[in-house]
Amino acid sequence: MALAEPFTAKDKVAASAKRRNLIPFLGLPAVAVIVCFMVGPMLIALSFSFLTAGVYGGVDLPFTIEAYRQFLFERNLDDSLSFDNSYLVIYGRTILLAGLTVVISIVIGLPTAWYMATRTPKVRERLVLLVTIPFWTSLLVRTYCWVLILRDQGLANGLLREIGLITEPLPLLYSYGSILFGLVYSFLPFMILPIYAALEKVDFRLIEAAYDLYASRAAIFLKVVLPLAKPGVIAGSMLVFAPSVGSFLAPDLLGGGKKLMIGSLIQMQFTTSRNWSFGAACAMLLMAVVLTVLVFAVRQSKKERHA
Amino acid sequence: MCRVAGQGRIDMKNLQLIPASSPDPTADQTAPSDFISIRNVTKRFGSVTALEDVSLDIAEGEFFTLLGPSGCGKTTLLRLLAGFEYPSTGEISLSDFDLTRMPPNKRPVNTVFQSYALFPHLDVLTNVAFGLERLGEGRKAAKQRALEMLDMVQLTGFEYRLANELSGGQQQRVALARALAPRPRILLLDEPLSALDLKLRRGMQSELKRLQRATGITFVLVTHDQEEALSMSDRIAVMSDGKLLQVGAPLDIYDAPRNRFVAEFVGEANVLPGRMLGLASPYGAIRPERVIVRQGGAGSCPGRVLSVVFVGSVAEVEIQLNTGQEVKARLVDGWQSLNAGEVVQVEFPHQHARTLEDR
Repeated sequence: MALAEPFTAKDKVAASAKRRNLIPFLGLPAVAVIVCFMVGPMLIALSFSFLTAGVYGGVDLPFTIEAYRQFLFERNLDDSLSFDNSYLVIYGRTILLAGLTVVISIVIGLPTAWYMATRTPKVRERLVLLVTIPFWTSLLVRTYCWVLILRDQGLANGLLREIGLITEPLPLLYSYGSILFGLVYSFLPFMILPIYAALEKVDFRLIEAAYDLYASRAAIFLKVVLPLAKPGVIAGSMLVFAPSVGSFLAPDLLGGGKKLMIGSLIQMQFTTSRNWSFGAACAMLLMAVVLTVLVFAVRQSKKERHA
Repeated sequence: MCRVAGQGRIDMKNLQLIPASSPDPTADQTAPSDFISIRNVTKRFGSVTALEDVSLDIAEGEFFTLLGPSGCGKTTLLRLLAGFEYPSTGEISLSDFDLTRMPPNKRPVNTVFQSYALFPHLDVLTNVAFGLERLGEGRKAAKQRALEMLDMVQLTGFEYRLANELSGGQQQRVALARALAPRPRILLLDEPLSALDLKLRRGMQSELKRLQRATGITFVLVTHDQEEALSMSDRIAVMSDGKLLQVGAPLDIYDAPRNRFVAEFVGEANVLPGRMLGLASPYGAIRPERVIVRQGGAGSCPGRVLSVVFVGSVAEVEIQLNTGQEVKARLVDGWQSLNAGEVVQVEFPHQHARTLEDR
């Protein structure tokens, strides 16, 4: 509508007729952006996954499904194929960790967002700023900082030793726990902000109404706050799940690269392993997984809206 | 169950007040206690005093109205009755139960909010059944009761709509049904009709009155609309600046306003020096419809017509007296021949003049 604002009253009729002719083309820039930056790269990756890997990186003809075969089967010396689940394990581990990241983010994010949404507008603004501040520095730097804090000679262990709680350093790094910690740390704001946005719009009188209608605190939360926060929780879950699945910083730096995750696997194929087509195939499979989860989540929320 | 020390209990399923069994069964009758009793209640928000030393009794089954301009403290008083706020000082009790600091979900009181506050994620039926289910009523029984309530407010057929799919008037009815469904002892209504257009408002006024008679529940209504207050209430409390100015039946309030504020807020009034109205007090009031205007001739109170405005059933005539005061008269007939600038004689029948306290 903003595009159709008349500039002067005199030109209004002619201009609006002219504009009407332009309407089918007004979406072009958006279409161009989508094609250039989203569909295009995706198609390139898709085609790479069906090409033969070049010896020094890159891809060559002919077309083949070798990359996808490699994902499930190992080629023995005699050229026979045997089933190999090591990549499936990586995928399972990744989805499990990403799923746990989502759950932990909800558990931490929901009360945080509720707290933020129930402050005065001035305090709210500041809290939103506080949540977004970490985005101003590189995730790489911030993740590396956690390495410095959590390693054996790091801040955390040093502090614990100083106050005499421990004598030997605790193994805080290079475990599933530290990867999970890193993922939650990295993506928690993506959970807090959408939930906050959903709760901020909630009329506080609804809480009073529930309280007035004999609801306990628990019932108010379960029957009123949670349902109203749900769109935010769903959006937040998608926003946290997708980057968690593809993340390689936290697994590499905090997991020590020993517990391989999909993100690291893909990154490795394009760098040290120089197997671009396998990397592309892994990425395509990852996308398939994420899309399946998203479609499922959207369907679920739609179904409940109609129920 | 909510126990109050030594005073019986409130049955939190049926919202019945169960007094402590007294050894002498006649004792309860000899000591009649008021239903709602508000004792010396003051409410401060920071440095602002919203209510100042308010004492008020409301009888069971009464349609009681808190009337006053915005910011007079009427909504604060309602919120104290609902339990959303607690008094800074003073006490509120219901029969013998101390409500002063009882949370909203423990008191048998329900509220119809000005903005309705219907749950947007629940359909109409679930909205209405909400209170009953929280009280531990079974799902089926709660639904059955909700259906009855929807029938009572004539919304049968809207059970599965969402709140925002309804018109303002329909939302209002849902809010009413939801608040009445748990059979509360008191129903609080916070300017429930202010968002409706005039015609709808008239319809809802008589419907509210009908519902109150049908259920026998004590209604406490907050409004700034004096006509609404006069037409619906058994008794009215007029408030201003956090203080209770006058409490009485609509006719008493209208016919015998205690002070200038009440006289001018409830209906219109000409406030004049007492001697002009034949009163001993420094100030007195007379309603415009009681003022008599005569053309020409001699009289004790001459003036000049400023304007004549025909408003339908009557005409409103503004007159400037020679002594300087402006007076309003409401005339059924005899105004057609009056013109602005004309010299007239004004009379204030003594039996209709009312003494006002200073202020």
